[in-house]
Amino acid sequence: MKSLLSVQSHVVHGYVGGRAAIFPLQTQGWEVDNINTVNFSNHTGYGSFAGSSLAPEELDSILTQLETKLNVQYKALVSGYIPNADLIRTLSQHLPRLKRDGGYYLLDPVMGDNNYMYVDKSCIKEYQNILLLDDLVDIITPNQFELELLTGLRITCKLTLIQAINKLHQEYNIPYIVITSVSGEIFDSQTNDIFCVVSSSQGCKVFKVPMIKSYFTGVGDLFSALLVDRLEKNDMDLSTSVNQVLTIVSWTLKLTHKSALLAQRAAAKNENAGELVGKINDADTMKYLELRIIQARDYYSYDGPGEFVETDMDRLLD
Amino acid sequence: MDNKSLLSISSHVVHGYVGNRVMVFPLQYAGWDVDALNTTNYSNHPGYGSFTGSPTTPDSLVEIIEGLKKIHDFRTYDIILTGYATTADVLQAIKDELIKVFQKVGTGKRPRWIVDPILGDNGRLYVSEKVIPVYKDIFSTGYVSLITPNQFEFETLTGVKLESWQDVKEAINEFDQTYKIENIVISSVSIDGQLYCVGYTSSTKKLFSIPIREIPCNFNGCGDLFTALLSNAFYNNNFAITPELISDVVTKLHKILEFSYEDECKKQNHTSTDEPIKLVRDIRVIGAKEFLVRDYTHELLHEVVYL
Ligand SMILES: Nc1ncnc2c1ncn2[C@@H]1O[C@H](COP(=O)(O)OP(=O)(O)O)[C@@H](O)[C@H]1O
Ligand SMILES: Nc1ncnc2c1ncn2[C@@H]1O[C@H](COP(=O)(O)OP(=O)(O)O)[C@@H](O)[C@H]1O
Repeated sequence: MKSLLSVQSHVVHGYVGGRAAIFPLQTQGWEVDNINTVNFSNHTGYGSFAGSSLAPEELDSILTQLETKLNVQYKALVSGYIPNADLIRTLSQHLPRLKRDGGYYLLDPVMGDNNYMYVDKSCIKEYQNILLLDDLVDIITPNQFELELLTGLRITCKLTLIQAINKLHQEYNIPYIVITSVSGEIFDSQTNDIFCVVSSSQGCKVFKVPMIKSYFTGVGDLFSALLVDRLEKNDMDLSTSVNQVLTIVSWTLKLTHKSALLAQRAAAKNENAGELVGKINDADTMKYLELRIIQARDYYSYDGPGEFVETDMDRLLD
Repeated sequence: MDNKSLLSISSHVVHGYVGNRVMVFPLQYAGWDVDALNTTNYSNHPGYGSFTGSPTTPDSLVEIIEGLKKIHDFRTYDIILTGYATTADVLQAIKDELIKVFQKVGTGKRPRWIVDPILGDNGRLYVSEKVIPVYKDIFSTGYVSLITPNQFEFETLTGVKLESWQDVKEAINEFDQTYKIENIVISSVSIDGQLYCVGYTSSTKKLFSIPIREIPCNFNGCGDLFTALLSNAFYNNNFAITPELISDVVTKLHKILEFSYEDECKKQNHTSTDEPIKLVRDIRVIGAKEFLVRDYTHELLHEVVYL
């Protein structure tokens, strides 16, 4: 049995955080232990929500129990949304113990997107401290904005992007890096595409993913969960794993978008209901755009070559 | 919502499989969108001897439910399932919040409320006895579609000790007259040394039993898993309790428990000369997932007895 510890958010309704990550992992045979860093009614994109965060002392006592009484041994660790610096620090104090039997750790430094931070600035320092711990973080999956926060570098072109990635490799010794979304401008793209950049000892590669015009939440959480699973199955081959993950994610988003349109039309009883574009803080569109994590079940085992073309970063630089 | 959906109110543990942790995955694997409201946030279940973490307070449960009601219409749930409630206050809070939902249901679709009155097992309460009258209040509301007590719980609720089929019939009749709940399933009753699962439907007064092939071992979390499997089967069977449905649930559960038992033996390097394993703390719902989607509706039909 492969077991894994997931540390991220819980919502009663909808699919973000652990709710987007755990079921896909379980379908792939992972025994997932899950610590809920928050316990909310729904994700914050609805504009209203209720609930509270886990207290740091409680996180400490739960982790201590797992380590000392239950003697858990994890093959993988994943952390996602952690709402404040105290909780990040508490987790970091336990990470070396949790990794003592080997296993690998994927850190998704969830802090914000599109120049907007959804946690306090003090979290940056705590994540940097985790990165400084010896041989702790194996895989990191920031988006462009989170990469900027962690490295302190503004990313304005391919060269600054490479610089930031190299900083993670060299200063922090992180072997596997995935920048889940880099804006089209960096790659002089005229079309609406998302660029996903991966870097490891295999080199630095770029994937171009067509953007679906809508606001989805929880995609990054699904992404990192699937990546943990794929890396295990592909002997840590990053390029192949990311291509497979991007493929599964794109199918899931297409399914979500299609079902959302149908649901919205059924509700509106109007065949001509306009284009459905999810907007943040708009509960009326958000409720239709929850990821179809359950209905996408059969996608998660995909192990083909991947639908996306990978390009060497070097070839894009001239 | 474009899919069948269910709200499950039960416990959360970080490690292991009881409460929502043993219920959510099997339901999801059967295609349900499961909203999970956690009544606890514990490191593990008490069967390990110690645990850390804390129960959710009644206030914070109410806050979360009220928050959820702002963005989600509870009447769209196909099923609302209430399981482990830590205290009478918690159960009371859940009851009050759900009653408001059912009172608003007009002639339209209404969620089926399935209540697992978790009180204890093998002659022992594991919640305060103050919880008992709150369950009785819940049964009196007229909104509950199905209850799934075990033998001890049904005995505690009716005050009748179940030692013969005559006792079972009398207890069910009396309970039916008092509460008029549409369906009752007693997850297990021991009569003359044999375990049975018992089903009853109020409208038809049909009462039947199916024998359970007992594995000589205790399994933590099997009552919760039973209720989850039964909820799915109940929905698929147009909300009717029939022998087919009980055959399916009891057989699925048997396969999963058998798998768990064998896996536990392997884990402990157990050999045939060792003392038999008496307790499996964690049912292997993930490892045994293939059984969740098999159909066993005909497996035990030849053993059904109408009482
Ligand atoms: N609107 C979208 N259209 C198409 N793909 C998307 C969209 N949003 C996210 N993705 C996919 O999901 C991946 C992760 O998304 P991202 O927004 O970077 O996650 P997060 O910021 O939550 O970590 C992207 O690499 C992309 O493949
Ligand atoms: N030792 C066992 N052997 C076979 N089946 C069992 C065993 N223990 C429990 N079960 C199954 O689990 C179901 C629920 O168990 P029960 O003990 O009645 O619930 P609870 O955990 O609520 O006391 C039973 O209906 C039966 O199908």
